[in-house]
Amino acid sequence: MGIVCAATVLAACSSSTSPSQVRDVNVDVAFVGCDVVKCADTINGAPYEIVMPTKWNGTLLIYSHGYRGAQPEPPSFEPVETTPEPAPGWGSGIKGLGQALLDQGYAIAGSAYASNGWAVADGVRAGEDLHSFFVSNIGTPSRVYVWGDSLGGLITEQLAEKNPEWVAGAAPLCGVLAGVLPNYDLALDVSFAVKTLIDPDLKLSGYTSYEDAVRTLTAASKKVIAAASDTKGGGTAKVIYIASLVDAPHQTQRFDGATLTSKVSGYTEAIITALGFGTLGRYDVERRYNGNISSNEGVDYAARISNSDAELVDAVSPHASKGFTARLQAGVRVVADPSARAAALAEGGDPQGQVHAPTITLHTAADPLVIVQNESFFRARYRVQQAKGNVQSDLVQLFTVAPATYPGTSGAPFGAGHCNFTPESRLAVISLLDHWVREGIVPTGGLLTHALPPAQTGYEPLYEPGPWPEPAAVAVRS
Amino acid sequence: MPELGATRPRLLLLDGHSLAYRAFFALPVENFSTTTGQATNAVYGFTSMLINTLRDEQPTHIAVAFDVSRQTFRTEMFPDYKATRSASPEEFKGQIPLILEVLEALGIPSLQLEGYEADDIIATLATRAENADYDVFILTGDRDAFQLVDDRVTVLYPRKGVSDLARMDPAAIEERFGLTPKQYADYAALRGDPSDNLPSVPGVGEKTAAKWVREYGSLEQLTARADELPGKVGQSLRDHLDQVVLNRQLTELVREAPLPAAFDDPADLVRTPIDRQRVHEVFDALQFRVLRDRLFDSLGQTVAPASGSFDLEVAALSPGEVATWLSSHAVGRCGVEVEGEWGRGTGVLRSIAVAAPDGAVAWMTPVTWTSEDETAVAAWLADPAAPLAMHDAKGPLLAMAARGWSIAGLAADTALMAYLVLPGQRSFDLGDLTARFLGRQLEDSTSDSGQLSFDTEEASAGQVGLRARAVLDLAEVLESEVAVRGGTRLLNDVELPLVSVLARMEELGIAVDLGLLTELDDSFGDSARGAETEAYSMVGRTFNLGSPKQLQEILFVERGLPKTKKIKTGYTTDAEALQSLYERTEDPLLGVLLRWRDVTKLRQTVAGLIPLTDANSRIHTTYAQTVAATGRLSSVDPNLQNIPIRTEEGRRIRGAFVVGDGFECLLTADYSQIEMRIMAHLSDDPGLIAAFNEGEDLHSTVASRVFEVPADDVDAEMRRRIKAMSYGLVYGLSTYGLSQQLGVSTGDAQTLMDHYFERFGGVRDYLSEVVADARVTGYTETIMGRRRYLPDLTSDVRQRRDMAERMALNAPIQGSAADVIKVAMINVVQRLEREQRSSRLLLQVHDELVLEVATGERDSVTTLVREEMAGAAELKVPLEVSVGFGHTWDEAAH
Repeated sequence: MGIVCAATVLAACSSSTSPSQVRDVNVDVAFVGCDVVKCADTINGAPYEIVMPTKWNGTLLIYSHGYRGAQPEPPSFEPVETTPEPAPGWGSGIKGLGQALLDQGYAIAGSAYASNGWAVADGVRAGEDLHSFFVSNIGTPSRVYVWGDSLGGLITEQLAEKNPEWVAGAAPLCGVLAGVLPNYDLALDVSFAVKTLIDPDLKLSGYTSYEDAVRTLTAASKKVIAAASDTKGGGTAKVIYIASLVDAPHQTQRFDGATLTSKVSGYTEAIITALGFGTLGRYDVERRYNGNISSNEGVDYAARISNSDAELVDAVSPHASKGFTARLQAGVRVVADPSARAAALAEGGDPQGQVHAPTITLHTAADPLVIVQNESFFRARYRVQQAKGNVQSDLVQLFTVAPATYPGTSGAPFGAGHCNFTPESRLAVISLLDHWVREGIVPTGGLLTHALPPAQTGYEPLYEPGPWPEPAAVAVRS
Repeated sequence: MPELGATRPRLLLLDGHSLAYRAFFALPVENFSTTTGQATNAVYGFTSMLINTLRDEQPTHIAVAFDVSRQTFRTEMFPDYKATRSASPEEFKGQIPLILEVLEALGIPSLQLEGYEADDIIATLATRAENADYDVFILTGDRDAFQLVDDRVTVLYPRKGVSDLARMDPAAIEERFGLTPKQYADYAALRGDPSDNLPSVPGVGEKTAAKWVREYGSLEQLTARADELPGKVGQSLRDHLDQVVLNRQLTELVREAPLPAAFDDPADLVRTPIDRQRVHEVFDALQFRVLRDRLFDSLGQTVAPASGSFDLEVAALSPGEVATWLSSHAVGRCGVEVEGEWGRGTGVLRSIAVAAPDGAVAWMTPVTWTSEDETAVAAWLADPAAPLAMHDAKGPLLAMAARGWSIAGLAADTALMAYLVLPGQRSFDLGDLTARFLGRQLEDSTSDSGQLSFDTEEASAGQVGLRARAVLDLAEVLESEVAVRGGTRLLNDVELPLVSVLARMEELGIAVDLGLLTELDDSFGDSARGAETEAYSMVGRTFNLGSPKQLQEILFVERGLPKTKKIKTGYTTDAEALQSLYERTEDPLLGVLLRWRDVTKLRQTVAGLIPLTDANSRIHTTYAQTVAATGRLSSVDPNLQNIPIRTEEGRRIRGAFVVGDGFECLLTADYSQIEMRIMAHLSDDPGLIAAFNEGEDLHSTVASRVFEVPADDVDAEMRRRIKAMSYGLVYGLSTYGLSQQLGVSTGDAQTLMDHYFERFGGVRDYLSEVVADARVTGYTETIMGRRRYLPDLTSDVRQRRDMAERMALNAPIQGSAADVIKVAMINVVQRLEREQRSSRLLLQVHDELVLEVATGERDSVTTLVREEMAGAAELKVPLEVSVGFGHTWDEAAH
């Protein structure tokens, strides 16, 4: 029980008319059990798993997992995952969250997509197949919510935009909501800057094999790490400069950014993460879409560095920022293969912001992999669609912020790091979505802080992400 | 709001008469009158400008100056001064005292000074304040004040209407006239001022006047060098030099008027808190509802009785805590406040706060409830032994019903209680009632009201919790207020039980045939277009039938029809005027116009219904229980009480309201002649009572007695006259009104009335007693003790007194009828429940109830409805109920 004082209140209670249907209170919907139906199998090459609660409340949750490497990745090179994931962690045996949802009466379902890598199209297909299978074999859901993490957040949004007739609610978490091209273009900016300022040998595109990409990443990472600690030689300034180019967060799960060292470490981690995206990830998408999908033609790097960015760089290495910018501006730009770019746009995920059903997004403010500006990008598209009359629901975007300091050993409890949410936050999002869809309670204001207690979840109602680093990328596909 | 003392003091000075005049001519008087006929346009416009300026300028000091009369030192100097201004229009007179009442309630000092104009008072105060280092703002419609403008004095001048103020500082004067403020008086003297009857110099217009003042620097220089001016205009000036010099003396404002002691020091004009109680009284009398809200919104924190604030801890309950909290605290009557949205028969509950009698307050939201939490809340609300106090409970009830909850222990509704205490008031805002009856402020006064604070859990919990607590405390205070007014029984037996009855009716709604509504929409649209085409061919061109301006041109100019009543924008083309013009002239165009208006209105009604239809093809109205001072219910969104019943088209619309799936038919039941029956009961007139008890047809029976003929010989005209007379009495119809309605002379009407009263003397005695009693007590009462307060019965304004008398005649009768049908509704619903019927009450339209009858229940429900309606009150004459059935509302009519 939280005690609050009633001395700081405003905002009137509304009593305007906003009709909603009388809510569905049935908490015991009939279904065919997993003893009869195959609840775990493969559809069109995608392994799936459905888990039914003892008493079904009629809601089906379809979960889309995040990016899985197509091949073992450095540094550990563990075997790739191919298990279906009906709830976050479930496939790797961490079932607490899924069990909590089952206890609340939800049916949970998820797939491993037919391929690993940037498998957006496979993921969307798997979600649709799973839904059809469920409806045909298990029962008729009163409502279906789609949700997912990271790349699964992108798949979730694609599913929701494509299937308004059966998606009743959506929760993309730490989602790649700006879609494939803006994110890969940003990764190119990082690689391009690393190549220009730190590692001239860095190969930006056209890896001949997975090993080629791994080698490139490993070599570049070493040089970036070396540069970060080379304050005298200007390396630290370069790292700060490169991170600023893409508005990378100064916090990560390990580094709280409270000191300059910690901040530079955070930046370094963000840059290496982006390099991984831009090498291993790029190898995958170039094979998928038959060519280089990224370009930095026409990018004005000078405009990407703000005065305060430049001040920080120059504080570390006096007068360095101007020179860095000049070198980037003069560098030979990368040209995309138009047909590959078109293919990526068509299949790799390009949410339009057409929100048909109640949608709640959740993102950590400091996300070194899928930057939080993916959310503002998506919001901007949503606004355009809203102005055109193409949206049927509100969009609620929630952000968590890490504490100002935390030890590197335990890391940030929330708010910093990719998809670093507490299980309670995830449960709260599903619960808020459910109350929204079933009862019309739009999650805003005090309800949010009550459902996501800031001290335990890092939820910060006043946080708002900055704009996407490259403004030209936001335009909606006509 | 700027902190006092943090900046220079800011003095706001208003020119009372000039602003009131502005307002009077800016706002159409016909739109701004009270129901008692008092014109309020000047008061409204003045008050509106005042509120806006208080909000925008945040003055620390304030005063309003008024003119005394026309006799000022200026008229002594120049007798024609302002002589051309027409005498104040009739409606303007009497509004100045009302403005003074408003100012007094707002704690704003006002003054007038014998022999001086308001301008001079303002000039004097402004000069003194400026010397004392104040910033001065002058709100006036008089341009003479421009000469006062300097770096510290700004004139706020209404550019257009009452909301668009020009901010005249030195730069603005320079931009507008090309002159310095100091030069303005010179310019005004040269130009003359037609509105003040200051003669101008022939040939010298505004441009020349401004040019000369600019070129010569001042009027003094100009007159000294008048010889140098060439041409005709130069000669003209030389010929009128004396006049110009006199003008200059007249336009110069006096900066040293002898002010009374209380106004000597600008510091004495410091703003004082407003008297909230007095504001309510004054604004209630003026029927300023919106303005009152605006005033309280903009002045929230300067309102006086903010003495006690709620110092309150609100517990935001975590999942699983609800049952324990309720069982340990919610013992005895609790205040309950719901945050959410509602309307159209449903609602959303976002959060709920409970204020317990032990002082504990809890806030909770379904968003984090466990199923045990929800069960605990639902069970508590459904427990008749858990008494609840709520504010305007009907909406929250809808949100609760949408969750599947029902509420059993509604023991107090502070909005309803306030309605019984203050039946003349139209809005019952909780914050306002809290300030008024508890002397506490609901909203926090320390936070900056200009900034929207972020709505966090604390804010939600605090706000909703605070309101729950206010409801609990208010209920106690209002309970005794209601008791003092003898309204306890009316509250507990009628108004409170009616809340859930109405909520349920709203929730059920009534089924409509959407296809038919769409057809009607098309068909009325076709008729409207048909009428348009016909009108075009008559006029010989197309025009906008809805444009009064074009209609005036066509009717009064092109067709030369006799002029109707004059209004601000020409001659009225309202329905009544066109109808009477049609009857007099039989111009076919008028017939077409009237038909077009009818179908357009019907189409609007139908088109309004279509989007309000829900997914189950039902329409859910919202009943307002606290709006009509008489005690009647009103219906909004959509208004189902104003669908025409007597016309063919109206009946077609009713035909689209149908019985819902799974039910047998609609049943309508209405009281016949309920008002006349109540009149018979209240007047105790033996003749009228006998007429009801004996006669088959009331009006014929009464007519036979008045005209002294056998009942069989009563003809249609006699019956018509008596019917009009009888109903006229209920509504306080005058002899003149009756003559108009019957189309006879006032003499004949008087004779009829005399005859009527000879036979039914009890009625006459009753009517005069009602008014006489109300004059003494200040209110009328219905059979259930519902009061209506009529302070205007003792007004010295005849119009207001007359209107109040008519209300006094009507209120007990119409109000008693409202009481009776409310009791009937409650009894019908309770008995349907008791007898476990599936039939249900859907609508109330004044004297009529509409039910949806379940298959097989038609006969039993008919008996039930008849018995409960007839038995709703014990009158000296029987209450007669007629019942009809049908598949549609129209078919069920009888």
